[in-house]
Amino acid sequence: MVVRPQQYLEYIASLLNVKLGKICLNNSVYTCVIGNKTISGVYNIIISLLLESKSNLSGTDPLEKAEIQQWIEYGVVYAVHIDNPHNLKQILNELNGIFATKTYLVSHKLTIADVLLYYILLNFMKKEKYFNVSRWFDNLQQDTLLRQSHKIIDFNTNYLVSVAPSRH
Amino acid sequence: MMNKQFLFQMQHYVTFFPPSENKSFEINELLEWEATILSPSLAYVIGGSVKNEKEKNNLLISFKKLNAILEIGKYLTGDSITSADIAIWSTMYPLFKCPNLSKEYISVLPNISKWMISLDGEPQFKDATSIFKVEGGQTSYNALLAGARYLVPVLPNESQLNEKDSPQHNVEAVSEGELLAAEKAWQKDASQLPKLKQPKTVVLPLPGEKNVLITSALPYVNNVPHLGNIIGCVLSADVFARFSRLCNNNTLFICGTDEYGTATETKALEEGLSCQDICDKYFKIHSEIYKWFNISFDYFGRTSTPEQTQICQDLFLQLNGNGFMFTQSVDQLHCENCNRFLADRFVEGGCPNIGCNYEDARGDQCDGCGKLVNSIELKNPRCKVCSSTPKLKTSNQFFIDLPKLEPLLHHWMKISLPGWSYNAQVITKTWIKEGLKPRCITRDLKWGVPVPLDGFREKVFYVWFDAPIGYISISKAYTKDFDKWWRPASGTNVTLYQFMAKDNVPFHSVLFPSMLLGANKGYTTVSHIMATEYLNYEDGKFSKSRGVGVFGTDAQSTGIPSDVWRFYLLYIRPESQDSSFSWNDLATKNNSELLNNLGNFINRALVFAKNNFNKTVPQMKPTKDDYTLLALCTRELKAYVAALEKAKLRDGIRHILAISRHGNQYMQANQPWVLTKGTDEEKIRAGTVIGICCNLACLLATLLQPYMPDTSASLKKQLNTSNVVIVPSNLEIVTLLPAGHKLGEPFPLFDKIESALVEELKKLFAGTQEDRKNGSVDIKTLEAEVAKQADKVRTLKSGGADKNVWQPEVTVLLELKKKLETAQKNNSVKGTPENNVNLKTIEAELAKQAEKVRALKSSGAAKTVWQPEVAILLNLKKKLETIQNIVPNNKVNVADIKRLEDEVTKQGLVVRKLKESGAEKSVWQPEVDKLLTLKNQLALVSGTTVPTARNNKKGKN
Repeated sequence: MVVRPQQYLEYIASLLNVKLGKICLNNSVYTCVIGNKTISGVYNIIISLLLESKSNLSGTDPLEKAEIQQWIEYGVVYAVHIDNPHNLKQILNELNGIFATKTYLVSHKLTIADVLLYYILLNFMKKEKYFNVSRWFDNLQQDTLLRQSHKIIDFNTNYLVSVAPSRH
Repeated sequence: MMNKQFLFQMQHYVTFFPPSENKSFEINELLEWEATILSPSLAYVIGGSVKNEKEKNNLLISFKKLNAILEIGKYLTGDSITSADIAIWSTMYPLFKCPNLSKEYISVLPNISKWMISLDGEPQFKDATSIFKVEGGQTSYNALLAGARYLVPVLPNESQLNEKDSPQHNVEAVSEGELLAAEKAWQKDASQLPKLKQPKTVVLPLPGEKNVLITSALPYVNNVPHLGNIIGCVLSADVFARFSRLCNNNTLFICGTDEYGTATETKALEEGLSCQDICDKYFKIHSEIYKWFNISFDYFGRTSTPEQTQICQDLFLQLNGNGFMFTQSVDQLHCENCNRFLADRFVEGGCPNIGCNYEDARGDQCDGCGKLVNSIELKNPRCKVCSSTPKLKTSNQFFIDLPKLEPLLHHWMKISLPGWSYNAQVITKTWIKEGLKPRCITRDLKWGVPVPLDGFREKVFYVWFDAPIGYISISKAYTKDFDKWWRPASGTNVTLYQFMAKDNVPFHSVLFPSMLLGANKGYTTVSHIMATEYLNYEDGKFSKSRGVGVFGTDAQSTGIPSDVWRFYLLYIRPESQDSSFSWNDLATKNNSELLNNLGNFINRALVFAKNNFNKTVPQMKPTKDDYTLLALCTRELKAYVAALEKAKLRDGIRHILAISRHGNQYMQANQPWVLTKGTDEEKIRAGTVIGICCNLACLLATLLQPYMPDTSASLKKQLNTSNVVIVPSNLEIVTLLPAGHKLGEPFPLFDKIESALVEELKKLFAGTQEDRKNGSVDIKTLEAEVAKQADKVRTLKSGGADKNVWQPEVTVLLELKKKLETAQKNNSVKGTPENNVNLKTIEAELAKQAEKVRALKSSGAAKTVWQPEVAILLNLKKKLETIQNIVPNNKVNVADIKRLEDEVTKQGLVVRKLKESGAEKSVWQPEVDKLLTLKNQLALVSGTTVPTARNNKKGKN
C-alpha cells in the first residue's frame, strides 16, 4: 500500500527541526498538531512545518510557490504509489524527463518539493537506467542533514568500470 | 502558459491568480481533498463503472461532505469565489451536466445543486464552458481515469479485512484453461517423461541436440577467493550448469585457475616461492574451496599447462598470418641490476600528476591522488625489488589491431548482444563507443607463454591475451576431442555461456571474440555473457588485497552447511545492482525461508505420510481445489524455468519458495490432521492432500537440485526417488509419486541459525584477515607445542625412563596446557569457532526445542502435531552428542578433569556437612547450586553427557 504520509512527514519535520504531532486520519484528511494549531491536509502540514522552521526551502514568489504546490501534489497524489513496479517505472521515467534539463524541480535551488520527492523515492531508487533522476538524487543525498540516517545509494558502478577497467 | 513556465495541474493554475491569502489554508485543504479523494472516487466509480459498494459509499460520503460545507456559506470558503470553488466545480461539472447522474447524486443534496447552478450562471464560467465543450457523464470521468494513470483509489484496510473475515487462504484466480491443463497433466505419470541422461565420463556435443558449453571466469591464482568471487562466477555458472543437465542438454562446465602474469610473480616474491610453487599452492586452495561449495565442474584445470602454450601460440600465429598483428616499439623501464624490464607494478617513484607530491606512486596508479599513472613518467623511478634506478629502454612489442577487427566484431555483436545480461551490454557499448585502439599483447616478463617468433622469444603474452585462451586449453586437458566443442562440425550447435563479474566483461565481449573471429577458423563464440554486479560485505566492500570479508576457507569454518551458503549467496545474487552480504540477513533468510517455509512444508507432509499412511503415498482423488493448487504451482514452475533459462538465478529461487508457500497454505486450509480423524470420505480427502504434498515435495527436490544439491539429495532419499527431467517446451506437473509409492525416513532438512551464533560470527569476521590471524596464531602454535611436549613425555615414559627424568617434562607440559587454556578463553570469540560456537547454539536450541515439545504435549495436542517436533529434538540431541564427542577427543585436558573432580568431591563434602548439621535450606541451597555447576563443568570436559541426560528424561515423558 502506497508510501504513507507519516513516513515522509516525519523525515521532513526532523530535517526542519520542528516537532510534529501524531498524524491521524480525520474524515479521510490527514490532520496533525503543529505548534498549537491543528492542521489538516498534507500540503498544509508541510507548509506549516516550513513556516514554523523559518527555513529557506519555500518559494520566493507566487510562481515558485505555485510550482512547489504542484510538485507537492504530484508527490502526494502520484509518487506515493511508487511501491507498485508498474508505477515505479512510470514515475521514474517522468521524473527522468523533467530532470533532463533541470537541476532542481523548482527554480534553481533546493526547495521543499525536492525534499519531499527525495523522501518518497528513498527506498525505491533504481540505478543504472534513469540517469537524470539518479544525478538529481545523488546530488541531494550528499547533504548529510537531508539524508539523515539513510544509506547513501551508490550510483557510479558502470561508469567507473568503463573509464578504468580493472587489470591484473 | 505563464512566464513561460508550464503548470501542469489545473488547480495550481487556479491558485496562481485569485488573491486569497487569508483563506489559503482552507483553500489548500479543499484542493487536496479534491485531488486525493474526490477525483479518484469519481474517476473510479463513474469513469470506471465500478460496482464496488464500499467505493460507491465513499463517493456518497464525499458528496455529503461537500453539501455540509456549502450549508455555511454561499461558496466553499465563505461569500466569495475562490480557486477551490473553481477547481471543485470543474470536477463536478460533467456529473452536473449529465441528467441521469445529476438526478442520482446531486438532486438529493440541495446545497450542491444550488452552488453548481449559481456558479454556472457566472459570466466567466459561461465563457469557459462555451470554449471547452465538456461532455457530460461517464465519458469525462473515464478520460480522467485513463489520463491519471495511477490514480488508484486508496481503499484502506480492505485487504486486511478480507484476511480476517475468512480463515481460508486467498486463492489466486486461475483460469479454466489452466485448471484443465493441470488436470490433464496430473493423469500422466513419471514413466511418460523422457529419461534423464546418465552422466558420462566425457561429455561431447551431438548433432541435432542442445549442446551447452559453460565457463566461469578463471579466478586469478594469487589469492583465496571471497564470497563475492564465488557468487560472481563459479557458483552462478554451477547453478546454470546443473539446470542445463536437468534439461537433458549435453552440458560441459569448465573452469580453472588463471596462473600467468605479473601478479603471480609479485606474490611469489612476497612468499619467497617460485612461480610454479605459488600456482600449485593456490590451485589446491581454489579447488578445495570449490569442492566444498559443491561446484559441479566437469573439469577444473589451470593455465600453466603445455596445452595452453600450444593453443595460445597457434592462435597468435593464425592472427598474425591473417594480418591482425603488428609490432611497434614501446618505451619501458629496464632495471640493469635485475636484468629485466619492469612491469608497472614493479616500479615506484614520485607521482607525475600536477599538484600531487606523493613519493611512492606505483607504476600503474598513484595511491596519493588516485589517478592513473604512466610508469615511464614517474619522477625518480626505482625498481621495487632492488631499489636501483631503472633506465628507459625501447623494445618491440606485438599489438593486436582491434580497429581492423572492428567491422567483424560489429557484425558478430549484432547477433550475439541481445542474449547478454543488461550490464554486460552497457559496458560493452561504452567500450565500443569510445572506439577500439590497438592493444599491446606481449610483455618482457618470464612467467608466461613465450612468443613463438624469432626476435621475440624472450617475451611472453600479456595475461589478458592468454587468460581467455585458458577456456580452450582447459577443455583440451579435459578431452582430446575439445575441437568438437570449440570448432563444432556443421550441423552441431554449441551455445556458449560465460559467467563473470562485471569487471571482466570487456575481455569476454570485445577482446576474446575479436581474437577468435580474427583467427577465422570457425571457433565457438559466446552467445550469452552473464555478468554480475558486486557483492558488498555488511556495509563495506569485500577486498582480497586488504583481506576484508568472508573468504571461501572461512565459510567452511562457520559450521553453516555449504547448501545454506549457496542458497543465501544466490538469494542475494547481485544481478541488476550491487547487493550486500549480511550475517543477520543470512540467519533471517535461513530461518524464515528455508526452515519455516520450505523445510516446514516438506517435513510436515512427509512426517504425516509416515505416521498416518505407513510411509506410502496414499490414494488420491483430486478435486477442483487440488487442481487449482497444481495450476498455481505450474505457473511457478514455468516462471522458474523461464528465469533459469535467462540465468536469472535470483528469481528462480523465489519461485521455488513460492511453491512451498502455496503448499503450506494448502495444507493449512485443508487441515489433514483433522480430516484423518473424520469419516471415510474425509480420510480419503486427507490422503489426497498429503499425496499431493508429497508430489510437490518431489517436484521441489528436482527444482532445488541446481541450488542446493546436498539438500536435494537428502530429500530424494527421504522420498525414495531420483531427479526428474525438466522439459522446458512442455512444463506441467505430472504424478511423480503414484499412490502406493514407498517413502523413506523423514527428517528435517534445515537447522535454525541462532542469533547468538550470528553475533559471534559477526565479531569473528570483523576487520581484516590479518587481525584475525593474530588472534588465532597464538592458539595454534600453543596447541602444536602441547602436542609436541605430550609426545615427548609419552616416549620418555614408554621408554621406561626414571621418574626423575620425566617429571620435569610433565611440569612443562602442564604449564603449556594452562597457557593454552587461558589463550582459548581469551579468544573464545576470536579463536577457532566451529566447536565452541556450535556446542553453545545447539545446546540453546535443544533446550528450546525440549521446551516446545513439553508445551505441546502438555497442551494435549495430537500426536501428529508434536511428533515432527520430537523428531527435530532427537536430531538435535544426536548432533550435540557427536560434537561433544569431537571436542573432548581433540582436547581432553587431564589436569582439568582432575582439578574439577577434586573440587566436586570437596564441594560434596561441604554440602553433606551443612545438611547434616541441620542448617536451613536457604543456607545450603547456594552450596548445592555450586556443586551442580561444577558437576556440569566436569561432565562437559570429560565428554560424558550429563546435561543431555537431563533433557532426555524430560523429552520422553
